[in-house]
Amino acid sequence: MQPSSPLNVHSIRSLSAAQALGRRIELYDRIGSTNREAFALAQQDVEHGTVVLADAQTEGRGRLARQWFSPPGVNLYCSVVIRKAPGADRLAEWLSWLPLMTALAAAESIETVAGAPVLLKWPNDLLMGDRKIGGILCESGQAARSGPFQVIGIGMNVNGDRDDFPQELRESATTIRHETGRPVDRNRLLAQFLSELDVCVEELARQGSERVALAYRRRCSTIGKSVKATLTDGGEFTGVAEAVGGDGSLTVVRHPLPADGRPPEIQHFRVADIVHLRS
Amino acid sequence: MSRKKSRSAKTRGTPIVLPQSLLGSKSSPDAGALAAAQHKQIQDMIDLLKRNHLTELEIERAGVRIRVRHEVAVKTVSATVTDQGSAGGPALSQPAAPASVPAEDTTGLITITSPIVGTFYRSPSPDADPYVEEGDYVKKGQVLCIVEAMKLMNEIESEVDGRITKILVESTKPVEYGQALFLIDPKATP
Repeated sequence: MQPSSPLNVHSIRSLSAAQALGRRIELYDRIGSTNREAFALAQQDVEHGTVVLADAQTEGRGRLARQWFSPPGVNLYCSVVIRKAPGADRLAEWLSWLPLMTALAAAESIETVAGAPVLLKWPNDLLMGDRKIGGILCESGQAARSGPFQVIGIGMNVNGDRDDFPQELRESATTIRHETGRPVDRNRLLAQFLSELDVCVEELARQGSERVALAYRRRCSTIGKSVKATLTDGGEFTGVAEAVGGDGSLTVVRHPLPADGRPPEIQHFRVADIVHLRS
Repeated sequence: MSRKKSRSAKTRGTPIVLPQSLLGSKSSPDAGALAAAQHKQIQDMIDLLKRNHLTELEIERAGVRIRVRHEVAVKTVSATVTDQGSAGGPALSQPAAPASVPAEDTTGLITITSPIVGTFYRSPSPDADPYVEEGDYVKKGQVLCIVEAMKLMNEIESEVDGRITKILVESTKPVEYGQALFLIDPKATP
């Protein structure tokens, strides 16, 4: 594994343009899970924008408690406490777009800092080529005193070697350095991400999802692709991803089309594992 | 970021700086059926129209003219979608409510409902024990389940002390906005 410049809170702050995110940064050499720690802090009423950052995770996790490979010294593992949820009339919109918007901010920041194209797979996987360089897990909870909060968690595979991944991940995961051939300053990347996310959070909280959705659709590489969707209960659906809806859902039209000319089946997914198929 | 565009062009008659993607390529486009890219262009135009509060937008390029109109009386241009092909509208078209609003029915039981459209999980991970079982006594604020949408895991808490008399949904199944998830007897005491 290649050495990587150490994470440094002052460095991150001086490079970041974020107003609210990262005013408080808790940096750990090693932690169980940044999301779990941020969730616990949120329940203890920490302020909006509090960041939990770790150089390594011992129990890094993704969706459905899937493990997130979290070796020390090379990657970013970061969780942000968000307390900007709008009133009940816009809560569903807020919750739906938050994870997608986070992916948008991450893709923009990686492209800016690493100078290489990032693909965004619906809803929020970050890819270079067809391999994953980052994942996002958001959680929503309630604090007894300070009310509802969300935790945005992100893991980015930055400066590691692809060979360091466990065997079962090598085909599906990669690192930014492996893809670009250059190491990236993790402090700069995190500062850029916090700056982008700060703007997005304010936009979504104040203006709603319209502009965020427009920017997301431009970025989302799933639109127009042949995909296989695997549902949580094991069901599968294969078709062409046509659009991302106003509620962030993915519209997939069943392919092949019915031979008898009947209208094809259309599904609007809010929860599914999507695989881009080569077509 | 690309979305940080000038918002100054709000009034009609003012030229709008159009995203390049709307103008298409300079090569002569196929005037026949709408390609997926053109479909996206029209969607982008609709978004642009709404964003700038315009009533009409027309673009002509290499012999193809697209005009999008927005009736002012109508609130939204784009059609809404239904979720996962099942009954019920999308989350956005519904008035959202705070999580697990307690609603007492005639039997005196409290119904815990889903605050969003998503997937219901009874445990924090597939291998973990369920948060609660039927017959369990729960405290106000105790986590009962997770509803996932867009990879956001929403913990749903009990709003009352009481006993779980019924779990109405199977784990990993889709749930609708407002769908009943649990029945709780608030009068039961351990």
